[in-house]
Amino acid sequence: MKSSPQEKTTLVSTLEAFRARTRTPSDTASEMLAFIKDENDALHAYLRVFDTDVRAAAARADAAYGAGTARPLEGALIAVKDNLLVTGTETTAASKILEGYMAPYTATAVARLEAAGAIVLGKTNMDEFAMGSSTENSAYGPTEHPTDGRRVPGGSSGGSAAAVVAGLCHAALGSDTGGSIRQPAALSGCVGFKPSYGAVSRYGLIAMASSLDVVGPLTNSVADARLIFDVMRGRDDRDGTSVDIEIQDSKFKIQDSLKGVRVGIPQEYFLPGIDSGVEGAVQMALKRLEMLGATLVPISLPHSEYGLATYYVIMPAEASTNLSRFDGVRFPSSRMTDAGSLEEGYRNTRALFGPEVKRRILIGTYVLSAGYYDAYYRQAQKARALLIRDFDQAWSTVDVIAAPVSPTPAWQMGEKTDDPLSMYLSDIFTVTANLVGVPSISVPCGESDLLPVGLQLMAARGKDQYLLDVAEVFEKS
Amino acid sequence: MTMSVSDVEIRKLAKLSRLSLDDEEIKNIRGDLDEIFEYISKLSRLDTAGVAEVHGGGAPGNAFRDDVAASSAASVRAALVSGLPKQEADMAKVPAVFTRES
Repeated sequence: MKSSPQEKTTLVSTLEAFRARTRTPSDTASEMLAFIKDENDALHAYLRVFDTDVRAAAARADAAYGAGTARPLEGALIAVKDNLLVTGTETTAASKILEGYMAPYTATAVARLEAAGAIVLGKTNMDEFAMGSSTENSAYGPTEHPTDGRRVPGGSSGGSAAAVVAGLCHAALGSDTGGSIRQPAALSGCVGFKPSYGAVSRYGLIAMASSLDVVGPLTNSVADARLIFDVMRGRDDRDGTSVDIEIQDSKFKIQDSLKGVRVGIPQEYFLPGIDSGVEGAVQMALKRLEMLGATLVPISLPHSEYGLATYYVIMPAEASTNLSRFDGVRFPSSRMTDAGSLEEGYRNTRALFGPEVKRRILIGTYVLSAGYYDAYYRQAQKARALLIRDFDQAWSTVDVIAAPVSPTPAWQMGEKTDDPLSMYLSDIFTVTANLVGVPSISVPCGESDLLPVGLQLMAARGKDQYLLDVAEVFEKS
Repeated sequence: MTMSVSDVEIRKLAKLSRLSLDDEEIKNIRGDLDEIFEYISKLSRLDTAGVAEVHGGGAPGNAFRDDVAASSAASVRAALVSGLPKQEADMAKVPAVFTRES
């Protein structure tokens, strides 16, 4: 793969160049579209690219800069995961069941970016309905790792991560239910930010597990992630769980130290079995935090070992419920039209789900069914309470928590596709942040055998800006 | 609490989920489910006596908004209706559920 003309160019610097009139949005867009055309067949980061619309919007952005009316993200080229709706365009969540579905409205997160001048470049590949950790579960074929085509980019927002790292967009949106932004960011080599639960509206996000789903950015820098987050966040009447996150004044300035910041190192996240290259890179990152003035504090999150089991009860329970809406009645399906009975129409339509989606629907139906509800679902909700308590207690002694993102770097394509449990285990360090609702970010921190490694940083719920401050100081060091 | 899922049980779950699985799919999924249920059954070892359930990691309390009726734009409504597989008079049309006794 050749190098992108805009590889590793940050969104912030691109917008500065637009404002300084040293680049124009339309030249940038043309260059980007040509590059996508060359590279996407192999990489398969995008399912769809809006060539004509992008050129038209970029020309309007040129005019806005000329007239001095440019908005904060004017001309920024954003890739959007295919589970976020964009009016009048096909939105499939990488599933055959939604093939041909034209979105009737635009997701709030995307609409706010567009209102700030951003241009939706295209829709990115993902695991079907965001169920997976490698993007191999897409019904439209896998995405390649951006620097090693034999490997997976991570998932489920693998198309967004690959597009960012390969320079096929200025920034991308993903969704994170159990690590689907942070893990592909770590495996592919970019920044991935999962905000606090509720900080960004879920309106127009095709729901997987509603108490866990969060929309967030994948970017080439922490500053880019903050820029996108600041535009998207905030209360939306169309999502009753969305909230205004308290904005704290930035406590640090770039190049400042982390003096006074207490970084918790949870012993449960540093266990044998982690890839030695990943462990080495994360340990080096901890040393860097210490050299920046942070105090490393060993802590315990005692219920961590139950995090993944809790997640794999609650997530499928909510997903099986959410996916009941794909019944052949409300979304395009010739299989219902051709069916002899309603029951047959349901079954024939739902036969279009891929194997992982069917598996999770069955698991969810099982844990919610009479006889197992108490043992699994109710017990998982209590375990979730204990995990929340673990974190609440930790915040009395530390300001942020540092951990690996993924126990391994990017693996070979096909390596885990026949073993769902081993695929699930790759989420072991990321799911708890979703169960607890705290903000969490993956920042590149080194390599293991030439493959990227991410450092995960978490903060208390609502302290999203503080977390971004710490991550930014770390990134610049 | 470790148990093996039977084919009968999988067929029942599939029926409840409106999924039709052929014998090959059931065979494949059985081994996976056994492994996954074995893994999640570790929750039974956790002492949760006196712990109240939670339903999410979000903000506690309710999210209120003004009690004002709001409706989608007509264009959104039209797009939703036109996306229905089969429609009649602005409504989704499906195969009949009941048959008339003569």
